[in-house]
Amino acid sequence: MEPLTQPNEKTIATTRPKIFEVTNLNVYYSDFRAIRDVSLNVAANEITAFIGPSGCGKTTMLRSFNRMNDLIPTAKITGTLLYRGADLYNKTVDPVEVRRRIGMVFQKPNPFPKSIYDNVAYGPRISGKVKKGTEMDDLVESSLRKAALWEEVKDRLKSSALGMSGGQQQRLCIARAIATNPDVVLMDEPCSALDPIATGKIEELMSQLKREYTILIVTHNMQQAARVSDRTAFFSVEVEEEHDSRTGVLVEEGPTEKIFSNPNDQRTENYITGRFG
Amino acid sequence: MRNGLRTTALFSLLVSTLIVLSLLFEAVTFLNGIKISWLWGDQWAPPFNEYDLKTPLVGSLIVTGIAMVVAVPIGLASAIYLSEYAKPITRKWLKPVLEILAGIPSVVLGFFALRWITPNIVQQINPQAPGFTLAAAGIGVGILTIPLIASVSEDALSAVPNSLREASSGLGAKRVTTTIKITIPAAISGLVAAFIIGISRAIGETMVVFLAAGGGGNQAQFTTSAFDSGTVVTAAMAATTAPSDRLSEGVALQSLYFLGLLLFIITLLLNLIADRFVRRVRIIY
Repeated sequence: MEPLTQPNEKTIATTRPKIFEVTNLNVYYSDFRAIRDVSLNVAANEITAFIGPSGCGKTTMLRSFNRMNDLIPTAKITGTLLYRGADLYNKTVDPVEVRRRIGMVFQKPNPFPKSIYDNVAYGPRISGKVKKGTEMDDLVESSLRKAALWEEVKDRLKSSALGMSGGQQQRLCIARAIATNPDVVLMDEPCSALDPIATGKIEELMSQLKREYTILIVTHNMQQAARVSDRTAFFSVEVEEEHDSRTGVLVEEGPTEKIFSNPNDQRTENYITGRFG
Repeated sequence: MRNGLRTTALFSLLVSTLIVLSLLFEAVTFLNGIKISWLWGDQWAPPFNEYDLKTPLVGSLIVTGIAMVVAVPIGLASAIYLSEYAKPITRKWLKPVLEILAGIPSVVLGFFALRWITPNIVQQINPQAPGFTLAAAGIGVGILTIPLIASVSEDALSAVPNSLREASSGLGAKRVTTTIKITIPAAISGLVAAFIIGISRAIGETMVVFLAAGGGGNQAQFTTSAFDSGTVVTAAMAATTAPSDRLSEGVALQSLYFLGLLLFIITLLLNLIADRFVRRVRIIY
């Protein structure tokens, strides 16, 4: 756990390698600026939570890390985003390769209308790196085990994933994401469609997964951020009077305990104490 | 208001029922008026009391088959392009253009098939082909069916939730991989429905075949070759009523009802099957 007070909040007081270094990142959708001048670092094997009110750009921020925003034709990005020291948005970087290394779990469980097995095997199959047969069987089993789902589904791997409960489906989506052996897992409000019990299971899973993966999570649930994350980034909405538009900004980022107990910025304190949002 | 609407609905139901009943009644009259052996021969020629059923039925099969070979690949490719690849702006003008193609009167297309497709496509493939062929009719019907297949397929593909495409992209799939492995399998029921609706439309098409296949003469020899002239169920019906040098009357005219009943049963079955597939798409999402 990080110490409660740090001499300089801008630098990460940790010896872990930096996975992401973001500098002055702006994301636009056509003329609309979704986030402005975001700078932050993410260290390996930590859970970083992005919190903030609706429309503050936290999902946009998350989707910048695996270039999912590229799929929106009007999206444009400026600034730098380094992944393990390399520019993620360099012209020579293939976004398809980026998404194999940086997996994603979405807000609503979105299993494919295929069997449980085929859902998990999808990523490795399309990358062609895993042979079918025992090698694939083992990978499917280990991925399902890591997602704490194996015991529940081992007898019905061939049945449709759509027959599972919402919580199981979301854990299947986590298994599917880690089957491609990613370095980072991005989670976009992974529990917002789940009941408290299923949510508890996913949270427990996250703390186990961070041993192997770096996790970035967007959440609307502040208790969840406080429970699971090591560091928290608070985003807020700023209204630009002269353009009559709203844009998301990073207010502050730091160890979760500090953000929740003694934030630097008044806006953060207002938000976490429920006086704003 | 409600009673008025109900009466209108009941009226249309009543008319449909009466049409089916009259079809049935006249078809039975026809069957009673002929010898059953007349239904098996070597030509469809009502004025000569020759009602070889396999002539229009095999003709329909050939024309529909060729039409599907033309319409399914082009229609499906258009649908995939529109739904998965086209930018919103392109899509905005391309879809109406496709729907305009659906509005071309079939008589225009029949004439086009006769005057352009026959010399430039059919007779290029087979120089011995006559001026009227089932092949030219098939290609013409195929062109006519493309917009329908494209439109129904596009609806099926667009109905696949975007979250599935995102999940696939998020796992490092290229767009073409997502289309082949996720979107098309997820939309397969709707695509099959599009295919069946296309067949149903192609079987029901009259004018193109009437003009391009030479079935207008109210007399067609049985053939299994696409490079012969021939007739199909619908064109045979049209020819029976068309004023020509060999006018049909009496039992010959009633053959029309018999063919009509056959056509009704075939398209009804196809539409029922298509409906089942469409319904399956709705259940999943």
